[in-house]
Amino acid sequence: MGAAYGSCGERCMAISVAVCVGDETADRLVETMLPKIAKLKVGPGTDKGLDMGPLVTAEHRDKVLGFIEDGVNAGASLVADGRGLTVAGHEEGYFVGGCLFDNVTADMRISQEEILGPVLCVVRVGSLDDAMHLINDHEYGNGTCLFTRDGEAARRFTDGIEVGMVGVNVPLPVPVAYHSFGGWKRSLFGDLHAYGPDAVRFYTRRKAVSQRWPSVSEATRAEFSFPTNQR
Amino acid sequence: MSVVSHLINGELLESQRTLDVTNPSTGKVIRHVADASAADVERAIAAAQAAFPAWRDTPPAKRAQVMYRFKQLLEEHAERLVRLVSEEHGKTVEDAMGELKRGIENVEYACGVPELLKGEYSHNVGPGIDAWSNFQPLGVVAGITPFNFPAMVPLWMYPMAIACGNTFILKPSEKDPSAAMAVAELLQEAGLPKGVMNVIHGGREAVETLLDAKAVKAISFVGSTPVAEAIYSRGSAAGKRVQALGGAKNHAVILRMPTWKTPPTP
Repeated sequence: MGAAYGSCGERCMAISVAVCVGDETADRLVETMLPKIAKLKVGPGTDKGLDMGPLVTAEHRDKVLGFIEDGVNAGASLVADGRGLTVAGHEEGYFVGGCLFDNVTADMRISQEEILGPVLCVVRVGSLDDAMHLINDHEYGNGTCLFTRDGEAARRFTDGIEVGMVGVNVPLPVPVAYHSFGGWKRSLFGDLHAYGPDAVRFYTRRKAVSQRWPSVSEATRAEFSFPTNQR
Repeated sequence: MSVVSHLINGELLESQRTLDVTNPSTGKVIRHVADASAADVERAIAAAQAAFPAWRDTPPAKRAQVMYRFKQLLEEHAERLVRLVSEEHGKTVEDAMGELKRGIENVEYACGVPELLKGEYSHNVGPGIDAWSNFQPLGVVAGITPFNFPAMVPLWMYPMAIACGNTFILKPSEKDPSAAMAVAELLQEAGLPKGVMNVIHGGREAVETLLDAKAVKAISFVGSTPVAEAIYSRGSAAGKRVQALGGAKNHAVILRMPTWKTPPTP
């Protein structure tokens, strides 16, 4: 819940697609989430004890609403609709409640593009390999995670997935400060990830120094081969 | 109405142009933020260039001591910083505290910079010849950060850049600039020499000036993929090091929902 709707989905590590293996898994996920989505506490961010605040600007709210409309038109089932949510005393705020789409497919715009809003898409697949193909074929490769009790599946997933930051039963695998943060594919342009050990390399350049202090007694003579080749 | 200023060479400076900063919970404009012209950015670059030689030669252990004080100040001022994040971004105060703490982790890592910069050494690579690699700062580096983590993402960048001996120019999101600015002022208060850390606010003109400036040696960017790609292309073409982090679609794969209601007791 927090990974999808926390910070109103405005996180580059937010979970925006739940890929459920098997219809039974998908049905149970949707049935578990619906009452929780209905109970999300939404209000001005500066109040305490809330789950979600507003989106950042009116333009961004309109963009998110456009994505929701697009998903409905593309044939996905909007099983929780957070549009039209108003917060008493804050009628002009840019609020959108939690939204859940079921039966989303890879060809839909809501599956392909980053929404950066409180919208979770459920995609139904037949196997772990189908799920991995779906992720590996995606333009982005920032974060992903696998929920399982199966160690073999976890190993297969972490080894073969084309994503820079991977969680196993950890929904938001944001690396700690002594590792480095970065996605693969079109989630990062450049050679090094952000912060941690990669930041030492990014913010410095290597200088390689070779130094020799011959003793004054050593006769100097011309050398025509690499000194490392001698003796 | 107050204006969020630039921080250039340790001084607060305004611009002729400003942009609105809105509280997304109310839809009301709550303050303005300076909108840098190319000339404002050039001033920041000149300040950072002037501060570089002395900062480069400051021992890493001394640079780390500034980071220790900075961490302490961030913790003391956490409530105020978190409020600025919530007011301008809209995220809950608890969530804003979470992002600040993840940001402070990066300051803690930067405190270890003397260890991180130790380098590599080989004795007798040839007769009487020793070789080593050391890791020298680049000069003036810049960071351009997004609206969604106004306190944390700037802290991904400049504590390490500055601890490594560079001088820095931050261009935070113009949508929620106050937290990034308040954090930068605390770094100044921690004892950083003037001009080592500079903040400029604004939009496209500010960013393009940074990308094209010869004196800026590296750019760190976090934002959307189309902008990340454009920044990478333009910055690389100008001969800079660029790391540009873009968008995401993060999939959670669920193999099977748990079959129990409460965890089994041992």
